[in-house]
Amino acid sequence: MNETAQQPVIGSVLRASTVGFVCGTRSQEIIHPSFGAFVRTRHGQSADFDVIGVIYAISIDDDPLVRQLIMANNLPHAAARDQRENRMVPVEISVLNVGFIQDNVIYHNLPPRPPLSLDQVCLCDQHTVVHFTRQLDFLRLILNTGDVPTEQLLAAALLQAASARPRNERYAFLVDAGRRLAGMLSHDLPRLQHLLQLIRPA
Amino acid sequence: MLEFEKVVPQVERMGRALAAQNVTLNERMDDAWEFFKSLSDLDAIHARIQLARQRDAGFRGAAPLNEPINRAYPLPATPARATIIAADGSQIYPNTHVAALYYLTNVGIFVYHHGSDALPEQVTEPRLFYTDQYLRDKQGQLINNTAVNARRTVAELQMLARESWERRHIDYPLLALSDGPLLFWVGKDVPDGRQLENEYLGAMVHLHDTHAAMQRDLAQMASLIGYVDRPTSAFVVSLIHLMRLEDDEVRRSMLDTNLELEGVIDRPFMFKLLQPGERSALFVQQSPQNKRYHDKGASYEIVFFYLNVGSAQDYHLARVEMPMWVARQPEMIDVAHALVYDQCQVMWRYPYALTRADELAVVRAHERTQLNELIEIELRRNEQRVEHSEKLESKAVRHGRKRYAHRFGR
Repeated sequence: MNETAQQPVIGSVLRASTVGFVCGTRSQEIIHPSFGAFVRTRHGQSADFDVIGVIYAISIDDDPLVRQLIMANNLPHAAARDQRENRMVPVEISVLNVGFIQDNVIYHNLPPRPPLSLDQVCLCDQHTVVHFTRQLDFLRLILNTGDVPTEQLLAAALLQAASARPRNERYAFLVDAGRRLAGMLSHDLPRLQHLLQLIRPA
Repeated sequence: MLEFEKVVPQVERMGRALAAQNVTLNERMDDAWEFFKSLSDLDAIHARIQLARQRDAGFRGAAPLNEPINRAYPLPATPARATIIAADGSQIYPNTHVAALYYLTNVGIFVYHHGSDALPEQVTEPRLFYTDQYLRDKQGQLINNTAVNARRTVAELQMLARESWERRHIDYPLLALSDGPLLFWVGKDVPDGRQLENEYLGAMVHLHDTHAAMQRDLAQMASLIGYVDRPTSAFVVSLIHLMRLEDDEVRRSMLDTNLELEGVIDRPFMFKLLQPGERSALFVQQSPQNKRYHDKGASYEIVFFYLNVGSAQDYHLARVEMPMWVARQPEMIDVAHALVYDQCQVMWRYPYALTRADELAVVRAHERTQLNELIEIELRRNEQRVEHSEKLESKAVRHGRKRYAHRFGR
């Protein structure tokens, strides 16, 4: 689980709590992060754990200058590059905490402390994703979170976790996840049905 | 706190008064417009201005350079490639209520490679002034904000000249864009005002040197432009007023105001004259300040034209100023005209490069706060006592400043 150095850095922590955090990046650097992807913070020397989270929103802030450029409707490529590469317009990536790694041990609980401002955030490598999703306790954490698109997020996270596995293990993983969800959502059949539809193996 | 119930009736009265004033002005303007359209004899205009000069009548209007004034000049072809360098500045004024006395100027330079996909360049130069040499005048009094503004203006043009000079080897026309009028003069309340004026003119000479070097080495040109957005000047109106007088009326008492045209500005005339993209004739503003520029060297007298940078649905006027070395070369006028208009189309009525230079230069309130905190930390590190004024402390409390107010996910 030390391969994070090779994984692309997607941003730095802007603000955080034990429930989640928001990291910022420049707009031309949003090639890698995607909705439902697993990320981990790369802590500074003072912290003794990495937070594991799932991306639940990617947003680009409103900007008066961009509005004016849109109104003018005559944007040369150089000006577009200037906006994306020179200007300090951050893209905000919102992350829900689903666990943490301490001394190479994975915990499926909220972290004891939030990551710190400016901690780097990178995508989890496949090994970490597989390792983290061997247990599906994080599903309940996501299900119980308000203010996030729960079903879409669960489905995206599970599909990403499936695709991190060898092709012959993906079906079994998704079926197992479906069973766990059925247990958790037995009181809400329409929601369960929608979720199962979303993660149905191809 | 503003009590709107007390202000609203005043706003209503203001609206009625301005509307009535505009009706009267519009009637006077219609007559003046008809007269302006008939002003086609450049020799007669120059003769009348010469008469005003001979009689020391204090004419402060526009003098046509060499083009008929009652016609519009169409938008020329935009050059395929060009380097546009824009400069703007901002400042933090000296404040006796913070821990240490200082002022700061911050100049932003934005370089746009027109006709290319190359990433624009950006340069900023913040300068902190904290010694008495800069903060106090010869009598030991703290300098005022006007002095800071004057020094910032000089720094802007110097940096614009420096960055232009560094790009003199680029084999495309170069356009140096400054925000605001090019004529610079200071009052007696600015310490070393004459020296500042000389430094400003020195920067203009530096830009002229860039032009000379580019002409010599590459057969290219470097122009300097001062861009004035939504001008409220009445230079052309003053000229109309002068031309409507009889010869024996050309005297100071008649030119102190524009009489029945007083309060009318050039903008509505130019909107009648200019379609989007078109410019007016070239004019030289008649003023003692511009005469001083002329006396320093014929190449430095400031010339201007008006330009409609808007669209068919929404006219927008700018005054584009340039030194005589630019104005006397038609191809340089064309390049400036086309590039300024093109820049305004990127940004919807204002040059993109200037917008970005302004953005680079501006010091925001939170940055000013951070700088003050940095200074306090440094003072403490050097075992200096840090005191704030009661006024500042109480302001912070009254305005409810929140420094760390944020929460996860907003």
